[in-house]
Amino acid sequence: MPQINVSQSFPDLEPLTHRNKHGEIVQRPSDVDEVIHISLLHSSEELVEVAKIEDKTDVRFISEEALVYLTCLNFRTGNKEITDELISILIKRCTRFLQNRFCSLPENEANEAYEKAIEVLFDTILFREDGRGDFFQVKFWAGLKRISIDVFRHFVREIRKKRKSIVSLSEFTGDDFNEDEEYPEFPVSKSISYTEITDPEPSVEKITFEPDEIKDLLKVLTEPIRTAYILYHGYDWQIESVDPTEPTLSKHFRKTPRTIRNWLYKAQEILINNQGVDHE
Amino acid sequence: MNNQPDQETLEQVLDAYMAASLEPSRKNLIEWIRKYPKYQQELTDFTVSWIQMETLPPYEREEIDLETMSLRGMSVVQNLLFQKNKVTADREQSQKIIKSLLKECSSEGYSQEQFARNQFISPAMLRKLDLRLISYETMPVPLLESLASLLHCTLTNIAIYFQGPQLQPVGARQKSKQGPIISEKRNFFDEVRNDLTLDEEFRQYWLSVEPKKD
Repeated sequence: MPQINVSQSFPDLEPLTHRNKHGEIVQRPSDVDEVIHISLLHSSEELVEVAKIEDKTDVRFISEEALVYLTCLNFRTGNKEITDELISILIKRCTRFLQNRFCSLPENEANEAYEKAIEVLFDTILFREDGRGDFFQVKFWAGLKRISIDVFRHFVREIRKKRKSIVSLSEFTGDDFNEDEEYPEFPVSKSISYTEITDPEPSVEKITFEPDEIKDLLKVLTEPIRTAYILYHGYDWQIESVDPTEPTLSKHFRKTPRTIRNWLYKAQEILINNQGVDHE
Repeated sequence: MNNQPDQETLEQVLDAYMAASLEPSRKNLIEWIRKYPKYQQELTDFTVSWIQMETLPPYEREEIDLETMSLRGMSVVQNLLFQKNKVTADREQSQKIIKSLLKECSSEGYSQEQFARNQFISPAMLRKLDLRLISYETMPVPLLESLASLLHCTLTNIAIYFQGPQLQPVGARQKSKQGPIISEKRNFFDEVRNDLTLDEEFRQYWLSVEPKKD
């Protein structure tokens, strides 16, 4: 990035107004300000050309945070043609990210979720009067991830409402087994890991698995036991805890610890059977 | 409107949580729950959704054409812009305050004669309407609708104008020390009957829509 003394060379940029959780007005990172200043030197045509550069190592690359500023500026000044171009460029940069976030939803819902996320993004950037769009000039990808989680959550809820116990969220079959059925007591200490499930006779040397490999393995599980299994083994959640601030599987699923243990045992059983291995 | 310090909204807390967390983790979640115990449930649900989004297996589908998806996204934004423009235009229309009927018709590009004719009234009646000499309650709905349409405003804007007090004609002077005696507003249909300059065709039309007296 060329070194430029921003305060001496350029006029002030439009200040941000949004406050963070501490009540402080959020600030754009100085490198974003620099990119904006340089971008403002371009003619409209040059700006669009430069904005199309996707290679982050290219010194002319315009970050998403700076693109948001430039889009808002052109939108407010009524420069429709360049606003449309910049919106289109921003959308292109977001599309793959959003597609990957929604890939576990059925196709129709994934497409709708993508559209919804785009709508929320630009509604926030261009129209929110509380200044929340400012966040996207500071941490664009964190903001977009936040939107994608909210949208994902909304669609998962909708799918559950619509289909209840029918296959939905990539074989999300819901509560299709009797949770009160008695299973052998699940060991509270974590004796099972992804590695052990995929390799029932583990060697001393642990095997590392690619995330996609684990994802494929999880396809055979149904909800909610799959999420319980992921939280327990993948994210170290406890089944229960005496600490009231500790998030636990029992609290989250509003089930007794015994039921959660049954779920985990069931998950383990399904995964081992699916590997064609006799656990006995 | 911005929030004051120490009044963190859930939105601000989740934004900060996202900005501070590269990936979902139990340790991080516990830390944030301890900082914001009132949002324990929301932080937990949000994190579980985040974990699900990142870890659930992909749904089997055909290869996604990113170019097509981007165009789809552009169409969504164009639709959003159109809707927002419409809302803004509607809001501006609903907030329009009419200060003078004659000035409004002039700013819409009509002469008084043209405008009066479009309303099936005489220029003299138009001036009386402008000065609010005619009672709003007696005005027929077709006239009010037509005025709203020609002046690009809502019926509420029209009603607010006509329900205001009578106006003095421009250039009128008050010489008496006492205030002017405000006469009662006139009945629209009486004006139609008594206006000698009104086209007979228009008079017949308005009298045909006059409400029947009991």
